[in-house]
Amino acid sequence: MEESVFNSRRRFLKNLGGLAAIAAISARPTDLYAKDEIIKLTILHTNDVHSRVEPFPMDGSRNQGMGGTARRSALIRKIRQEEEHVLLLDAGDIFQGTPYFNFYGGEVELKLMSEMGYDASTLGNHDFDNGVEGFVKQLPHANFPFLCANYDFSDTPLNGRTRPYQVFRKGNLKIGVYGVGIELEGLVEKRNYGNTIYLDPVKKANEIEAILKNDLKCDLVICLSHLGYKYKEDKVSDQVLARNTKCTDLIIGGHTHTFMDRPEVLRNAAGEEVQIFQVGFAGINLGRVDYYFERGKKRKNAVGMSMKIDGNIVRI
Amino acid sequence: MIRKNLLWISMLVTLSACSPHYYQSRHTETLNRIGPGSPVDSSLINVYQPYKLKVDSQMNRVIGYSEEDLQKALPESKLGNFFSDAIAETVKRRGIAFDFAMPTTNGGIRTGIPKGDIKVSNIFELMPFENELVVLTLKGSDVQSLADFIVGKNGQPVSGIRISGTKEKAETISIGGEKLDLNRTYRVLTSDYLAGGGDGIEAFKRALQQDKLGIKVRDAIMEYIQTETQQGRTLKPETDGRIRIQ
Repeated sequence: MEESVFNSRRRFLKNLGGLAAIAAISARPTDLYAKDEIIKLTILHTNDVHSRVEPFPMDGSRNQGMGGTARRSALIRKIRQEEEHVLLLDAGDIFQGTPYFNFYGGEVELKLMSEMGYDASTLGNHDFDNGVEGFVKQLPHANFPFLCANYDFSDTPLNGRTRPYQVFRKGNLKIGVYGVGIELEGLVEKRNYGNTIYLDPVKKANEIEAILKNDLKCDLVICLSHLGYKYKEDKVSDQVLARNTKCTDLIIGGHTHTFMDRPEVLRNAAGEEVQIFQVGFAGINLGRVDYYFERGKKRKNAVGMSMKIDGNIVRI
Repeated sequence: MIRKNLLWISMLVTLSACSPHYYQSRHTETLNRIGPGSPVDSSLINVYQPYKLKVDSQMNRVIGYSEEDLQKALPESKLGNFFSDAIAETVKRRGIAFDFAMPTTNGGIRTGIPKGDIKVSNIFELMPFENELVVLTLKGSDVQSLADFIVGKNGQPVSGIRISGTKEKAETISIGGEKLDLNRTYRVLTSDYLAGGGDGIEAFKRALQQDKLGIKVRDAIMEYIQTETQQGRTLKPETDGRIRIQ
């Protein structure tokens, strides 16, 4: 379990005792932390796993032998042993694609994600394939929250069962994660999405990111998006979202099953850098972004560096 | 008690005053490919094993044989033609009348069929959805609109209809060997998903009548393959120029 800032501080004060605590109150923050403190945060992510519990069968098809939850889990465990602060996220379309879903309606997929320690997911259009009721029925198998800011579920059985965002604490960092979903009309049968109301994802993203950044003082803001990477036609996508938000740092995308070797870096509405990453589908890849945080204020001209670490790629 | 409360308040003050501000100094990205060389976490296998046994007992049954690896392509593919022709054939054999079929969009065909034995699992992955077949009655003008949609999408899987034209307009349309007659109605075999507005086919939204067949799309494909196998035939679908786009 992650220890909150508050609890660690409380324990620290207890250890020092009352007098020292009063001394600590008057101390300047810089005296309490080493000046060169760097915190590393590791974001791991998947999208559109589509019930791919086992690797693709060895039948000569394009993706034969790829993916598999048991392998993904081993990789996640290894990374968790190596790194102190890890967040594991999914961008939706957990359901549909193999007979596991037809037989068990998502139970297996959610149990496995819970076992792997997913921290949060958003909903994809296929997560509605057994209706809102079918999704609600499987929710007890998930020990992680579903985040979606632009579906209004108030007149559905999902009312109160999802959240727009969640703040995670890792060490002294606060990471705000929110979700956005794709327009359901024309993509999902009406009987399956029922009275779910789709709201403008760009508008909701702007609202939520402001809460996360300004009110809740998050150090990093991540969007789990099932909008799709980009479209030829005029349709909201991760690229549109990236250009029209102000303080989202990373968009973890899905829906279009786009295989990206590295994130795309765009400029947001405030001229700052925003990254979009999507790693194909079916759990063939696990995406990873490592952030290094340092104390102090960001220099205005600081530009993030993107690099691909080939050494960490498991060759097949 | 009072002292304790005071301490809490002062701690909260400290917390907000000392709350550290961090900035992102740099970031690195890695793509981890997961394949045959990757280690396995057996505890995960233990979670899904009981489910797997039941799934496998039904999914590993071989129901047919494909002469080649069938994959999606536009404007027309062996896989798409197989998908549509197989469903049309099953429905015809059941004595249900219709003029032509478009049981799915290209996007609804979720994967290919590998060369060799066809297992039940292959068909579940080809058509994982639980959609059912319906017959829609369309005006001739809406068949034209559907054909325009098909060429606009650079082709869709169809059976019993031949369309040629540009991406903007379907210029020649023949159904059952006869030219489209704008003054009559046509019965189109499709899925309840497309009939219900899925994938935005406007012509289907204007259907005059909808007859539910109570047959799952997947079951119609399985029935076709099983019948072929019983009659000693393997799958060898062809393209025949049913969709031509200049």
